[in-house]
Amino acid sequence: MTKRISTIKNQDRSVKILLFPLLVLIILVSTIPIILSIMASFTDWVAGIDVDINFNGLANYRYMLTDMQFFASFKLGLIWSILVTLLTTIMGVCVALLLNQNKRYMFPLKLLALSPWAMSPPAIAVIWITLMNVNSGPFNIILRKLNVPAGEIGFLEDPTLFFPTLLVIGAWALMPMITLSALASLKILSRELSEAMDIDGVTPLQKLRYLILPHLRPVLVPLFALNLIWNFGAFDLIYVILGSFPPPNSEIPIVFAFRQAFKYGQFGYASALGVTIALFELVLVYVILKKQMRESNQ
Amino acid sequence: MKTLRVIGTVFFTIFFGLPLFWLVSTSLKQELQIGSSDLIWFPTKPDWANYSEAVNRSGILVAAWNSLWMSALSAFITTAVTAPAAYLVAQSRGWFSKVATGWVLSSQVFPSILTVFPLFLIYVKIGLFNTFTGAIILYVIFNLPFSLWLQRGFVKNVPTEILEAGRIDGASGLKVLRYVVFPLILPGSIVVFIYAFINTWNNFLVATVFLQGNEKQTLTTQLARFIGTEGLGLFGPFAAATVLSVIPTLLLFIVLQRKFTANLVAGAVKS
Repeated sequence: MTKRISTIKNQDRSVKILLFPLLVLIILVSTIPIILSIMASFTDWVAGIDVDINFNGLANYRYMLTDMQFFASFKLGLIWSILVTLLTTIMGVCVALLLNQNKRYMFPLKLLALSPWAMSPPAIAVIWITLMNVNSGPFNIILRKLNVPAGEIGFLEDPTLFFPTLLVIGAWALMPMITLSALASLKILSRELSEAMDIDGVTPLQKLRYLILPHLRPVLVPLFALNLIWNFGAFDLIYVILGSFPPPNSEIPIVFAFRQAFKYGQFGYASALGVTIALFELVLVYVILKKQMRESNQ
Repeated sequence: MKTLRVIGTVFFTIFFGLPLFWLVSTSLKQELQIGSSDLIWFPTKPDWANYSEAVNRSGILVAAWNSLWMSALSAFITTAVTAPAAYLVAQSRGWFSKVATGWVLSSQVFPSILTVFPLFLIYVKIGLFNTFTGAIILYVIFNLPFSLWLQRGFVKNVPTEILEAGRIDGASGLKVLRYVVFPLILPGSIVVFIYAFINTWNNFLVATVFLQGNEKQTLTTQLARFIGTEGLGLFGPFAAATVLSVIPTLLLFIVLQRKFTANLVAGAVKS
């Protein structure tokens, strides 16, 4: 038996050798940068050629605790991430329930609902900037037609409307992943059980409450956790939209940290912010998934 | 319940359809119609001038070509390395699979945008900065965690008896992979390829930071340039360029979506 295992190990060695270059690349472009970034968070590193870099202990982290702007952006990031994840999850499940009827006329909706996934952040930004335009966007034109006094709404320019608009765009762009996963899970829902419930005269709402949602739970909870951290660190989409409409105090922490690094050249400080964000995300995922695992073990 | 269903279907069709419809309609309007304060749902005479202007604009065609070949190549490499890697992760019980899982998780948690600067310095030092090779390496590595996770489900479904039978016959690990595992996880490879292609095509970060100069732009960075200072007056060509940039991924997705969803389910269910 031991001999057989050892030959299997030897047989797999060729695969390992084949993958060795890949491992080197992963270490080079993924592991080392993370380690460097953690190290940089303990230094006074600023942009420039031939600047001295010195370790300064926890100075960056201490400064962070006094940085009210960072706290504001952290709070905003949390609100953004929770709201957009809730919105996408609820709407995504609704769309999946609609699509799961397997009616032929649902096919166009299926393509439409999954299409944002095939689009790049700049393309999404273009689409919504055109749609939300003050003068020529359809919403504003309709509002003017209806003689609404505020027929010139700057959905992206108005500081109070910017955030809700961003949520709508986020829901639109980030939903496909949830829809697809929920749909995949619904496909394996026991048809017999579902039909038995229909015969027993269970109302659709009760069915949703006692059959469908519990069935979706094991898929949705980890997905919710993952989306929470992805959206907390969602850089591309927000950066591109902010690029053309930078309203004050609307930076989520990841954009805030990026600006600290690439606009103000504060690499040390930006790294400390990045490490903080990563730690926070790690704790968040751990707490949610741990709870989920404990529940599924019971 | 039925009314709720109808309302839901109508709402979501508009919610997802309207932005796309408006984009296409804008791309076919003349400049005056675009700025018009009258509601023009669709121009009576579609004008293709925006498309020729978008295509003639410096760099769009080059960028489209760069996006296309880099996405295809990155997706191919990702698919090729994911299969053996997922096989190894699924096979090994010890530290290897733990380390791999740990890496997959941590790479999701640590904001990639903040590793960009150290990475930039490394790239400059070893001469990979502003090279297609360097960009493709990044695309592949960024695609890898999720691809591994996707492929893992499929590899797990390969019955161990088949693997062991191959081994007892004296086949090497590579041969088992080539003749036994690869054909069995073809559905998983299709899923990974589609995911990797779309993800690379839409990637914004890598080309923004690591590729400089007009001849090395991708469609995403070209579009982002449009959005910036110069683009705001040019909604027409802008919309046309966006339509063009969306077509390949959308087509790929429409053609393969049935397979994609089915395979995604297959990978998730049995494991």
